[in-house]
Amino acid sequence: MISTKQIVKKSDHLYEIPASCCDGMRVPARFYSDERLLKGVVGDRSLDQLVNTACLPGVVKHALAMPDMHQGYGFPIGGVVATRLPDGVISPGGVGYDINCGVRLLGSQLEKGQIAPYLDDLAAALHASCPSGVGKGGQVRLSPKALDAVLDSGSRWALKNGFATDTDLEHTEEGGCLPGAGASGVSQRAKQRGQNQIGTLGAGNHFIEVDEVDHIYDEKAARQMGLFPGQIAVQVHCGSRGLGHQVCSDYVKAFQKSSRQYGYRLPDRELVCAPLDSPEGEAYLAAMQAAANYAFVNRQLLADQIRKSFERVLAGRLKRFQLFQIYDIAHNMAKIETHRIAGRPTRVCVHRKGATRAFGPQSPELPDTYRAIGQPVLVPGSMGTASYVLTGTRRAMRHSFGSCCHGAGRRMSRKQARKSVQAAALRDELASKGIRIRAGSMAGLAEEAPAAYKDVDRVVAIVHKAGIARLTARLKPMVVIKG
Amino acid sequence: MGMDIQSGSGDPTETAVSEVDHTADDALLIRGADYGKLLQNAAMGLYRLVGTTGTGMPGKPPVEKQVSVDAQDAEGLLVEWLSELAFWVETEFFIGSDIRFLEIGDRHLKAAISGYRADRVEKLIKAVTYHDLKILVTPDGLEATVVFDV
Repeated sequence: MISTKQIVKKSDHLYEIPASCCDGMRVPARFYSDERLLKGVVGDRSLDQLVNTACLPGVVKHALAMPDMHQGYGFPIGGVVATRLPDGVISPGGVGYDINCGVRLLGSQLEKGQIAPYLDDLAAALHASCPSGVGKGGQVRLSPKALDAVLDSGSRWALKNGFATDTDLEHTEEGGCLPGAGASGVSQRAKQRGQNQIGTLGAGNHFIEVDEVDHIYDEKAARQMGLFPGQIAVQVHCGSRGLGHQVCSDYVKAFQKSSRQYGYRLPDRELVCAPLDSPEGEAYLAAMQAAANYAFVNRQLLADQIRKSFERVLAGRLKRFQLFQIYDIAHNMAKIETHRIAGRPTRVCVHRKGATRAFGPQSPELPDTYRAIGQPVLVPGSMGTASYVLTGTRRAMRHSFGSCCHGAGRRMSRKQARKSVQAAALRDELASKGIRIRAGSMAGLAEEAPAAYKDVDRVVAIVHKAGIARLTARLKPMVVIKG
Repeated sequence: MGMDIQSGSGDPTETAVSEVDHTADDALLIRGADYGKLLQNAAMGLYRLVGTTGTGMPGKPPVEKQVSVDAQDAEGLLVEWLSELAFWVETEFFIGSDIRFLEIGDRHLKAAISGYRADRVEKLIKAVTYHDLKILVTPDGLEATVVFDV
C-alpha cells in the first residue's frame, strides 16, 4: 500500500506520487484532497489503484483522482486518466459498469413557500410515476428495433418520440447523443437486461430529489443557468441500468484475452484494455457510446415523468409549474477530447470514472447559453445533505483534463453502514428536518445513509479552492425518491 | 442480514461464505473443499446477497435452468458462473436451490439448476468483477474473494 512518505504535497489541495515511486508508472499520479480527507484516502486502496492507472499504456501527463476518491476496482472511483490517440488504450474499467451514470438538473419558476403545501402529494406522485427499486420496469416499452434506435440516437430518439424538447438536448452533454455509437456492438444479453428498464431509476445510490436552491455563490453564473435563491429544482441521478452493466462485463471479459494478446502486464484484471485503434478498442468504444445514449434517454424519460407529475399535482393550484432543463452530465464515461499536452493540442481518450467533465468558458463543446460562463457541473450529495452546482473553469482545462469531482464519495462499506445505521431512525431523522423520503428498501436506505459518505461540503470546497470548478449554487433536499 | 454460511462439511468452525468489507460494493470470501464446492458455495453466497424473500418451492412451480459457460481460466469461470446466476436473478427473479454440475473443466462448465421464481429480491447485482480475484489453495481446499458491483 502507498504510504504517506511516498506522497508529495504540490499545493494546499494537490498531492502527487512521483512516477519514480513505483515500477511501471509512466506518469505521476496526482490527486486533489486536504489533510483531513487524506487520512481516509491512505486507509483504503484508492492510491494503489491510482498508481496502477498511471501504468496504463499510452497514459499522458498524469493520472488524476478527485477529492471524493475511494477504492473501486481497477480504477479508483474519482479517477481521471487520459490516453493518447491513436494507440493509447481504452479500458472499460476506467468507465465503470454503470456507463454514463450521471445527473440531470431541472429548474423551475417555483419557490419553496409556494410548493410547501403540496410536497407530500408531489412525493407520492413522483414515487408512483418514476419506477424505482429492484425489478420495476419502465412505462415505455421498446421493441428491439426501437431499442436499437435509442442506442444509436440517444436523446434524438426521445425528441422524435415526444419525450424531449430541443432545449433539453442542447443542455445535455454531447447533445444527449454520442456520435459513433453502435447498437450492433451491444450484446443480446445486454439488450435483454435493458429492454424493460428504460425510464427507471434503479436502486443503490440512484435518486430523484426535489430541492430548494438555498444559497447562491456566483450570481452571474447562477443567473445564466436560471437559478435563484429559494427556487425549486429537481435532480435525477441514474445511469444505463442493466444494459450498461452488461456492456462493461462483456468487454471486461473480452479484453482479458485482448490484453494478453497485446502484451500488457496489468496489476489488476479490471484494468484490462486494448489500443484505441484496434478492432477490440473500437468495438468497446462504440458499445460504450451506445450504452451512454441509453442512459441519456433513461434520464430524459424520467424527466418527462417528473414534468408530468408536477403538472398533475400543481396544475390549477400554482402557475408556472413547468420544469426547464439546466444541464445533464455524465460521471462515468470515456470521451475523445482535445487537450493541451506539453504545450500542444493533443487528441486523447479521457476516462472519467466517478468524475465529471468541467469544461471552462469558451469551450466549443458547450451550448451557447453557457459558453461565456463555463459548463454547469452537478455534484449530488447523499440523502439529507446538500448538493452543489459548480461551473467549469479554464484552470480545469489546463490541470485536470477539464474534470472535477462527481459526488461525496463513500467512506464506509455497505456492510458497516447496515450495521451502524438504523434505517427507520434515519428516515425519521430526515423527516424531522422536513425531508420526505420514499424508498423501496430499508436495507438500501441504511447503506445510503449520509454517514456512509464523505463530507460533500468539504469535497466541493477543495475543487473550488483548487480552481478546477467554481461554486455556483447549493441545493438542499426536500423530497428524496430512492430505489 | 447474516451472511456467514456454514459449509455443511460437518466442521462447525468452517464458514463457506462470509462478507468482507469493501467501500463501494459487496465482497464475499468463498471457501470450498474443491472447485465444484467453491462454485456451489459462491452461488449460495450470491443468493444470500440478493436477499430473496420468496417462500421457496411450496406453491411455486419449479424452474429448470441449464448453464454452459466458458472462460480463460478458473477465476474467469467463477465470474462467468456467477454472472449467469445474477442475470437470471435480474431478469426472472430466479433463485437456484439445487445445483448439479454436469461438467467442470479448466475453462468450461455445464450445470443443471432447479429453482423457483421469487416474489421479489432485495438487491440486484450489476456485475461480478475480476477485482483482486485469485483462487487460493488452502489446507482445507480452495478460497476466493469475489467483489460484486451492486
